[in-house]
Amino acid sequence: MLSIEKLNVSVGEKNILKDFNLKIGKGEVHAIMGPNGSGKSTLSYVLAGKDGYEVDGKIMFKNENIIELEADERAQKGIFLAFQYPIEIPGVFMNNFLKTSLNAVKKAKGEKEVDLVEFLSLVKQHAKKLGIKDEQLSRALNVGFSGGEKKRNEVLQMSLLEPDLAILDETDSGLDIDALKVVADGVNALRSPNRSFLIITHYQRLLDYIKPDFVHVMVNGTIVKTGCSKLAQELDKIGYKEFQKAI
Amino acid sequence: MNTITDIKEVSELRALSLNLFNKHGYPTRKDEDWKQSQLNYFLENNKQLEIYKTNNETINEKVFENFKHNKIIIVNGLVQKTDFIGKDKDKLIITTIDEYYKKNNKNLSKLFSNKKNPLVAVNNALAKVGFYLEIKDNLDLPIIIYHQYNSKIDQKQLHQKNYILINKNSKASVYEKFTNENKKTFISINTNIDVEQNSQIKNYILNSNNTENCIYRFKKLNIAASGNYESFIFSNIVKTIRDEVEINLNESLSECYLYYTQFLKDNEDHEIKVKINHLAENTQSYQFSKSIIDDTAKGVYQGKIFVDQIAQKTNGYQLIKSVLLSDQCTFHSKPELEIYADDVKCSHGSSSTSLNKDELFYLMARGITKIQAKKLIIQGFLSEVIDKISDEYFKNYFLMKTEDIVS
Repeated sequence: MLSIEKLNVSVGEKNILKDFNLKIGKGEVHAIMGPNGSGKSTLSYVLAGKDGYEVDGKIMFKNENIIELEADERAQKGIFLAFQYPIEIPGVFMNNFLKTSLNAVKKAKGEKEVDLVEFLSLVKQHAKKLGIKDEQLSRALNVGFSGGEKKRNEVLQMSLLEPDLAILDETDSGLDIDALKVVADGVNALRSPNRSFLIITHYQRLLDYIKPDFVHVMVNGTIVKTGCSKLAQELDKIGYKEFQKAI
Repeated sequence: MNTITDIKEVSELRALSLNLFNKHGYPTRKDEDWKQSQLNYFLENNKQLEIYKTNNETINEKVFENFKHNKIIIVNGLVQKTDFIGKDKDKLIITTIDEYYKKNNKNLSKLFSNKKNPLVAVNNALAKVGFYLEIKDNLDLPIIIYHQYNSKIDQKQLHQKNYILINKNSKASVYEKFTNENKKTFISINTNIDVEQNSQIKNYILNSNNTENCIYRFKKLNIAASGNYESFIFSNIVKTIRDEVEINLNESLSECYLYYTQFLKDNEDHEIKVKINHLAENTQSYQFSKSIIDDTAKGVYQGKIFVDQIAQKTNGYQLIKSVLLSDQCTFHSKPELEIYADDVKCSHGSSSTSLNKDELFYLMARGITKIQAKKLIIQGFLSEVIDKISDEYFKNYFLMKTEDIVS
């Protein structure tokens, strides 16, 4: 599904990702854990195609190097980034935004676009599963949403767009236990043999609910250790200091 | 229709205004209030425009809106036709301004105020056309005033003076739609509006498709106790137009809400000038303006809130935001507060930014193309103002207009 080879990312003089390599197979769930400033969020932004970085290396997605593609093209090809801090956009209403996004992705896939009636029925169905009220769908995008509402909204978008690769950037931050469970259930419902996940987190907590196949420790812009889900539990006990010292 | 008045007071007021104008002349960049005005250049280069004398004019019916409304059609400044529906017929009076002068030949000086403003002075001196509109009750339907300027006034100047009176306990929505077929025409429109006790007027203006003519619209409002004024001006594809308003909140609980959106590109420009005078206790004013400026276009917003020392418990708010889409476009914002009372709540904020890259990335990360994402952001940015419009019909009308212009 995804193969990152010798990815180097910098902003100005600062190197953030250094010879970064990662392979994610179809249907696999990978977790990347690491201390603050290790480059986890940068990795998620670079994969999603954000401007402003000097990028070198290969990002092979479904056997195509997407490094030169714009963010919209990557999303249309099936990459989804659930943001750590979903931005508020006043005046852009949820329903309009969701319909535009869904139809842009459908159009790119060569599928039939949905009309308003079909869209409303679809979005309500998905929203209900995540405990999102109809009222929230008629509000401006993320404006006045609580931390939990914003994260649920990210999962709602993910379930509507049905990506091939979902990157969850600290989706657990700012969530209480109940909200975390709702979000995790939403993600688990999307797990399938054809869909891969890259979960970026500081804590093991989220991984109690979403069991990863692989856990990677990322320090100073590179992966320093890879293991199974037990590694996350170990990290919870020992922290990242040992890995930082080694570097 | 007779447009020549021989009322002594009017003649004297006109002569006085002409003297004042002759002393000052057209505004220049040296006048603080006109520093950023593009009207200066137009007037400097077109000083000798002939004054148009209105006579029988033909109506362009193609521009009529197709929803149910009361119509007032004004061609080259003169009322040519009215069409009021149902009971609204008995709740309205409309005449020429001349007829109003003849019937009310005292206290006319209030219609000739702001003489120090050179373009108001020239309007006071030269306006021979205009209308008087009186609202006597709550109207069931909105009024649309179709201001039509046909090719007969091409490369001429026309000055129009109007007076709108909203009687006690009356309500009306007035939408002004302008069409102008000319080039190098100077039009000044000076409208006095009196909002009497417990009455309300909602005034919406569509400023569009005028890049060849110079238009100066000046409104002066006097609002009585519990009176309410709401206005929205939508400006797109316009050049050399200045919308100016001065509002006196004269009595307790009077309030005004002013909303503006500008969407300017190429070498377009539009100026907004607002002065709100809080002259009594417990008055409220609210200004909210948003502008999208592109290419070499220029937007201007000058907004002043004046609070008299007796105007305790004033609540004044002003927020001016602009998004600049190119390196060559400009937006001039000049917020001012002048406060002499000590128990007031006044705030003002002004920001000019480029398009928010994080917003753009968020939308693109959802598969939305860059062009479509920009449109959504721009539409959303402007819609935030339009969403404040209290008349649901016109709110949707202008939201649709915004969607049209953005796409």
